Amino acid sequence: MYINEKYSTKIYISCGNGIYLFSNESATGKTRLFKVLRKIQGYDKDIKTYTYDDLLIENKTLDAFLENIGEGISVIFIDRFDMHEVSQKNIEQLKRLGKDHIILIDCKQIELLAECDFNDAGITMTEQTITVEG
Amino acid sequence: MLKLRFRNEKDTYDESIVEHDIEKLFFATTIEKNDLTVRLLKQIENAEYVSSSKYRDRFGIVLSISDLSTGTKAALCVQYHTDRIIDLVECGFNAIDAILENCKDGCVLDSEHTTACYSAEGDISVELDGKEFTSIDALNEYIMER
Repeated sequence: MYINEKYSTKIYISCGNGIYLFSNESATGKTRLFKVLRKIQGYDKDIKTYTYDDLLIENKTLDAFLENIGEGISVIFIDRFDMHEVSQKNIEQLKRLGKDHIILIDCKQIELLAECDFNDAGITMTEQTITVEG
Repeated sequence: MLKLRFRNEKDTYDESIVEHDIEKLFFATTIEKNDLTVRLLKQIENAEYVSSSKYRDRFGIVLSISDLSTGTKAALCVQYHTDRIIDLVECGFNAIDAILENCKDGCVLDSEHTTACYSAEGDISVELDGKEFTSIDALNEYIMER
């Protein structure tokens, strides 16, 4: 479970540790959630986010991101997962991290993560809140 | 007519004109107000067009057009880039259905379907394998049997 009510957008992630895929639906709030968590990442240090832009701008691979999550992280959010070439190593990294973290992934091609024993996550939002339920 | 191609059938389309990164393509696109733009924003996002750089979201808040979902961006790109093939890999089912229902031009690339297909409603104008489809049921039936 992750709750953050410190900022103008309140975040409620009602999930235990594990890997969660959002439903295959557009415009549910995933990118908004990503952007808010991205901001929080800089302030609260208990979140890690990764998106395709990290590869384009910083040349940071998914491998490198997953290998360097660090200590004290509660939630990992991977946006635009479909844009990456996913390796077996990435799958193993995700499975390992899923034991101790809440991993939220925006991925439409669920077959990419078939080996990960993922859960489904639903997302709802209001003007000031974003809620994820797994 | 909207052309539909499947990603794994590489001999049916020209890979050199496929746009995989919708965020990049959308960033290079100026969105003008027209009937199709208004319908797509409403149907996928429950949003309204405000200007080429802003839209009003479902909560009535005016946001930057860059905050639209990738699915909505893909749908808008189909309209504005009819000379490209738009990869729908990052589109949710609702965005894909909205594209099929509303876009009558352009070309899109989707994942191969082995089970449930599209749920779009109303008349469509889609070409696949050289055949034209005007109903979603006929398109779905053809895809499942081909």
